[in-house]
Amino acid sequence: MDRALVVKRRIILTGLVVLLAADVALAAYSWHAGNTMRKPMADLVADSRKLQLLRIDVDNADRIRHDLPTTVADCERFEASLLPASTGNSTVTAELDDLSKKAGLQIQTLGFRHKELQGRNLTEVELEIAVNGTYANIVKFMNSVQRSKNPYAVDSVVLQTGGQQSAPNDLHIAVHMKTFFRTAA
Amino acid sequence: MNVRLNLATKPLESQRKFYVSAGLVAVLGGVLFLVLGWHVYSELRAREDLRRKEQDNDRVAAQLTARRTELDTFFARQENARLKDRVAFLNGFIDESSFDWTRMFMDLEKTLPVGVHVVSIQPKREKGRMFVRLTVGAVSDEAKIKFLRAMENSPAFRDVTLLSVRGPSGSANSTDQAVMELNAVYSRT
Repeated sequence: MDRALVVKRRIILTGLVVLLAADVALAAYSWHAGNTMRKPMADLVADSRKLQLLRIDVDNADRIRHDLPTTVADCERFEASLLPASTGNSTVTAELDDLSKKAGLQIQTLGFRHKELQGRNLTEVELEIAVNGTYANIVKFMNSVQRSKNPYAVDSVVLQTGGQQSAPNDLHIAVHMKTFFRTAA
Repeated sequence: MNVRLNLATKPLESQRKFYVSAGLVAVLGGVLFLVLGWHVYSELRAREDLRRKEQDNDRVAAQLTARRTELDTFFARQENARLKDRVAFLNGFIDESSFDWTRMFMDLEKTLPVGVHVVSIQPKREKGRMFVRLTVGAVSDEAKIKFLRAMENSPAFRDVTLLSVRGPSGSANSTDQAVMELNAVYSRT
């Protein structure tokens, strides 16, 4: 074979080998880069989610700070709506008497327990009420208590059959509830 | 007169097959090179984008953390901590006082089948959930089963746990064949 031709073929072959080697190198780099990118991408997604939660948290706190004057006003308005301690007992007694009569119930006992809440200018008043009546009357009474303009939080209601001395449909109800009186002007 | 003479001392060898093969490999290798090159270029750009996004995230995180620290300091002030406590206290009371007892009684009435009556109800709020401890009397075994099924299928009550079933005692109500005691969570709160 002609020497010049041999040299030419070798140059072509060398070029092809270099091209294929470059292909292999690029493929290897591409595979490696693809693998190493997966974790940082996942981390970025997780970080972005955390940031979003942090942003919501901060925005909420910002809004609360902005609304603080309104919140203070709301608290004061609610506390002002509570009964004053000086007249609260008579008002609550009269109201519960009235509500029970309207519901067709008779209050058997009504117990008060006062607890001064230091630093709040409030007195917590626990009420124990025992009444007798039918189931329908008791539901009516509970409904009236719930709709009263004075707020009462009913903690527990024990509804039991009246016993041998009462009428057949009579139930005995013991209600434990609480309200608050304001102790300062 | 012209005479055509072949003066070659070696026979003619065709290089066509070599050139075609080499050309084919070169074209395929070249195309592959371009594709892989583009892919690597894209990877590098994506890496750059990623780095930029990470920097953005770091910057935003630093800003938000600074804002949060400032807000934490603000809310940690004595007067604000006191207000937070006051609001939580009043909200707790408002939440308790706004519980709809009438609706709970109505739901209970809907759930009770014929032949079952309530002996006692003890609703109690714990950790924001309303637990109801019920004692009911049933005039027959059929009514007893109907009541338990009704409670289990009621949308108003869940986590129904039967605590005890007693036979006729004769003390409270002589018509009762069974007295059941159960706990449930009232869902409509």
